[in-house]
Amino acid sequence: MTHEQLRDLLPALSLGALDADERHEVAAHVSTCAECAAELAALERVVDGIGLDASPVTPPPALRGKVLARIEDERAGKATAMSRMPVPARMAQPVRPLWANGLALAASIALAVGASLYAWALRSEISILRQDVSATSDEASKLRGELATLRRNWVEVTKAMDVLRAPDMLKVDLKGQATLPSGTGRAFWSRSAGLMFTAEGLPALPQGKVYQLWTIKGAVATGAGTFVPDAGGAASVTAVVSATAEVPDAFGVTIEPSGGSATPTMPIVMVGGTK
Amino acid sequence: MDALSDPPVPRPGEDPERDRVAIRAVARGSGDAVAELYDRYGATVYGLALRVLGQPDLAEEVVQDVFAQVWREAGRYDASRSTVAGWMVMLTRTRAIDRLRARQARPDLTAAVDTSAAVPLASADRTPETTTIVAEDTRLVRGALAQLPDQFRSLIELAYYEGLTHSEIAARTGIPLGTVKTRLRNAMGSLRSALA
Repeated sequence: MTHEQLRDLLPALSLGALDADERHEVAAHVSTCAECAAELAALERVVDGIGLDASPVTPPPALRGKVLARIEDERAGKATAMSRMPVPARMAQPVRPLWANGLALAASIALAVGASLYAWALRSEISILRQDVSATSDEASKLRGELATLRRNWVEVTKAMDVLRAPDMLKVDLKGQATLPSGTGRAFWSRSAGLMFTAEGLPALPQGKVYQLWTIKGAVATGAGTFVPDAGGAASVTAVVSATAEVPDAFGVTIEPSGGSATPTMPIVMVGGTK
Repeated sequence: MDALSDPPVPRPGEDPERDRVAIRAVARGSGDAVAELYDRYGATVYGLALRVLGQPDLAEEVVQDVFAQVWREAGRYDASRSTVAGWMVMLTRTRAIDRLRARQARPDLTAAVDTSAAVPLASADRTPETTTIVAEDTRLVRGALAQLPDQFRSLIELAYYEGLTHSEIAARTGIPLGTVKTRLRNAMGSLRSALA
């Protein structure tokens, strides 16, 4: 029932005229609704007023003595047979006690509702914490990824520095060919320190394609690593150079399938000679 | 207990604070305070019991039961829930309805249903002096009750004096349950407005 429907039943509740199912529901509502509790209190004043208005009748004069004698019996612990009569079911649940029972029920319902609300809140909390843990985990994973990238970059930079500092360092500029006029590149080669290559002006490649760097000696091209340009069209790559490698005649770049190829696929898009 | 028996004796509901003093005295074991409450509420309790039960002997038993209960339970009286007058009326109504229900049959049962035969709440039994000094709530409620059409007032009386529920009233009167609910709500609403 809605608040309005329950409120409409308050008059009947105050009169004790609600059937059990409704009584419990309304009483439960009253225990949690200040507005209805206040209204019920006002209605109970009305009910009290009805009773007080009910035709006072002067009792038989002897009744006063009976009442007071009964009190003395009660005081002496000599409850009369009448007061020791089994309490009828309805007497055990008189009008206001019924209401009190309703309150007790309402309290237990409120407790149950409170408990389930609490449980619900806990479940929500757990869910939120799980999400937090998940997010934290994602964050940690991301940070680990960034750290790995930074380490890789650091390794690359270190390698590059080694190459640049190498006494046998050979520098070769590469120029973009007809198919890649914007591209420029520079290769640093050292037999002792390795190879570093940087390039700029590289167009993005279709999915599944990479650039591949080659060292060329005579008629033999040797793969020296693949790379994909960043959003700005720049790229860099480092590679190990065999200790027995001869000084290359030239460096070239081709476009190859992902993973690179064993031999270059024509055309060469960038090339630069060592001589 | 001289202070409690000083004249003039307040009428039912007229002096709630004095009632509370008396109840506290009863809780402490004062038989004089019981006597004071009897003198103030005896006619109210007896009249209400008689109204519910229709038989003087049963009404007298209810009066004894009620004051015995007041004696035993004065310590549990909760002034925040109702006035002493309201509490005693509630006890009386409950006791009387219990006895009413305990009876197998009630010869004059149909009389109570017949609204034309319903005894007006402000009946000739009420002494003029009493009607002028009952509690303000009671005066207002009586006024509002008197203005209610019989078909509404009779439903309140069935609920109040016989302890019938919605469905019991519907079964007794043959009035559809929904109508009973609506009329009872509206009738109580009228009385409630009188107090507002």
